[in-house]
Amino acid sequence: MLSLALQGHFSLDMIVFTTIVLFWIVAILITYMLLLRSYYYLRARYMASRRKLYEPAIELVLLDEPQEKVLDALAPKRWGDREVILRVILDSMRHLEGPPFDSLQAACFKLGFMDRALKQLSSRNKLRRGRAMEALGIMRAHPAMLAIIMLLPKQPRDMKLVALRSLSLIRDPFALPYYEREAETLPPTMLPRLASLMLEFGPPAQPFIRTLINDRPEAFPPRVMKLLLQETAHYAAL
Amino acid sequence: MIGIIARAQIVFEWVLVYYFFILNTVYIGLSLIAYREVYRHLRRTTYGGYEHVSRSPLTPPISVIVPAFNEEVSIALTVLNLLHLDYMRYEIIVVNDGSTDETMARLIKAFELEPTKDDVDDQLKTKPLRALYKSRRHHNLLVIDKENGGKSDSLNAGLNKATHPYFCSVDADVIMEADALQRVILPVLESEERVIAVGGIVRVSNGCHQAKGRITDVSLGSNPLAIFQIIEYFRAFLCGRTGYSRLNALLIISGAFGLFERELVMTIGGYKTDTVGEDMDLVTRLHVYMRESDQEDHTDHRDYAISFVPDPVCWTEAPASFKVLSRQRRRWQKGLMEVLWQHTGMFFNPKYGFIGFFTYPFLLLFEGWGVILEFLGYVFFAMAWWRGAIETDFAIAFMFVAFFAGAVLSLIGVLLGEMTPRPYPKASQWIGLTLFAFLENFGYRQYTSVLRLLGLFDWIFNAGSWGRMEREGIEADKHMAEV
Amino acid sequence: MLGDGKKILIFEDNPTIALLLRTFFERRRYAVKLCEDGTEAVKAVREYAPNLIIMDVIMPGKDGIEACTDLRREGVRTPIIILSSKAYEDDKQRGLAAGANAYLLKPFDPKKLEEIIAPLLS
Repeated sequence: MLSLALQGHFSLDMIVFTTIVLFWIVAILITYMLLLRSYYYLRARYMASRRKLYEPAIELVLLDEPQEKVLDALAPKRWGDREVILRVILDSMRHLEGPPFDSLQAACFKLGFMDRALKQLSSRNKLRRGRAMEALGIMRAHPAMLAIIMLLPKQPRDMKLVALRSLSLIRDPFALPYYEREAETLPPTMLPRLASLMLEFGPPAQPFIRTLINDRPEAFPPRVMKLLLQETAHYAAL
Repeated sequence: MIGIIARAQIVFEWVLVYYFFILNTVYIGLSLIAYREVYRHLRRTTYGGYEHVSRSPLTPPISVIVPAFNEEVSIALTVLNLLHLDYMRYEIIVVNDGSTDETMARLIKAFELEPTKDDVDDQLKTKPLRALYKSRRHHNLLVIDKENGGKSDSLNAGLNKATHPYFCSVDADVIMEADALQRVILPVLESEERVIAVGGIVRVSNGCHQAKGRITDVSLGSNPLAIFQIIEYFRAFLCGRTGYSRLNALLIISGAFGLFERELVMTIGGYKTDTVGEDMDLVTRLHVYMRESDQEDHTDHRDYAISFVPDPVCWTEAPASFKVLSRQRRRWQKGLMEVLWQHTGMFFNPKYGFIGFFTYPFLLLFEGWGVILEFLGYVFFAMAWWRGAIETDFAIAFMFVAFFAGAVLSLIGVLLGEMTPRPYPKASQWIGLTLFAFLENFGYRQYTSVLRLLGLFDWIFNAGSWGRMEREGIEADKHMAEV
Repeated sequence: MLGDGKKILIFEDNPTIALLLRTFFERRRYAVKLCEDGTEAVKAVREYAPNLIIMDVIMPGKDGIEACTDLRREGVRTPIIILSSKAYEDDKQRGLAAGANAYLLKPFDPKKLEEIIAPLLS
């Protein structure tokens, strides 16, 4: 009598069925984790071993060795190494300026990394697109600027920020009007971020930032406004 | 008469089965949402732009507020850790809440504090301050010495002295990740809505090795109680809170670490001093303020978000003994009930969207009052089985369902933990976690459910406030503890 | 302009930057020693007796500015260059106030760094 409800409506069969389903979910989860872990582990080990082969190239760059030697050292030795080489180059470029940077930039161009990233800009895969944009930004790939600008209107908002960030790394004032255009489509919460990216352009950005803070003053908290006014004071004085 | 009892029993059985069914379905649903979120977040962070955040002068400065009561064991190390975060501009405000131990003396010695004064009018009412100190060595460290008034009171005192637009409340025994502030400020900078608060994953530090105020080696340690809590934290933060935040229905940001808009929190009167669930209370009142205030000033406040980033932001020492765990859990449950009971207006209130129709009712009925059902369920099941009213194979089958459902949830938590930064590096640790995800269902879960029931009784009978957690002290190299 | 075995002590916790700095200077015949943080700065400087110190601002345990203060307080007069990614005036002022001889922003041009170093080492 006691378990009429349980036994009447939730038959043993049903409970056994649920148990089996859950058991398989558990089994799948464990297998998935196991595979995921091993994949990450093996990949990381492989990548690290391949990296070692290309890192000496950075030494050559720092030593002002001729470009041919650098290119030789950076040329892919095995299928699939391109990803590794690009990482090695970008990791160094992030922290460098001046001649070593220029040398690595030239290497990116000559070894086809720039072209490849440019092609990936039109990829449907957001991750690939984002990475390509980031890479082009770090390379300060001037030839990519127009392509990125053309892409801007079609991107979702988070990708827009990635694109604008890479434009601000390329740092050609030609891109500034497009920041202005994007400002019209962005919600006010994102405008301080936009302005901070524009600051990267230095003095040429000042008139654009002024216009932005005049047009949408409500989007800038007092602290940010004050800072922006300070940064653009030089322009206002003209 | 017997008919009524039988009928009541049938109803009770139904309620029990549905409780079990809905609870697990909701958890699994949230886990699936969370999985998607974590996956997207991780992909996004590969081109995250943190470098720009850490470099730009426009990145908002943050006030880090650390309330400390009798924390002599860990306070110096905690502050040392906080002084070396990778962030553009921030200040640290340590509030000594009338400690009766060496907390204040250690701070003065370790950071060369000297008395200072300020002429700021305190906006929030707190217990009287004894003194203010600033450091001779560190320009961004301020220490407030005040009379004892509890955690909320200390946070309010810190808020009064804070100068930056955002503040971050941090527990005094917590070790923060160096890039934690960058991680939590990103949603503020890049969201379409106004982000008024951000939480992050709190991890369990027991067993981890630390040096120079940072966690250097992630490890499980040997205390089973702590390992159970590691899994629990993964489940709560990664499956639960990530899921809720996706629906903009997050009601809890852990007191151990949370970022908030300072002005806004000041406007709603800061932290509430008469509750033990002050962290949840604050987030709940923020929701209320944002959703209710739009009639008064005719502005639309509804475009706001309370976010959660699935990145590890800090490490906390979980209770390592049953006694301390019991006190902590009873306090949590009591705090949960206090907060929920004060905001009954949210219950199926369309103004609150997902909170009103999902988070609030779910927390109230399942996480809050539900513990009674859960407990009665165990008792009922045991009794029925003992009396032979349930067939043995049926009982076993039902227990299998419960067991596997629990394991699925814990495993998803472990999986998401594996995916996010700073996973457990060794294969043996993963095997350990997986094993404990199963073991958890035999004893630990029942134990915490009893504790929660006791916490519920504490709330109902309003038992006295609960003492603080006794710390074991952070196992760190002595040298650094002395600074 | 080569180093002639002059000794440089580098405090840097980012392995990539540390490696870049080390390679650059070693190949120019400087002797280089790396430290991951500033907690033992005074001891390290006493032991190694470098001709120049390069310090990152953000490090665990003790940051560049603190370590710099400590060194100067201990009477160490070795030239110190502070390396930072923070484009913040405050930081620069604090660095120079702590007794650093120069403040350099990341990303950096190794050539420029060498130019800054030259007068400090002569």
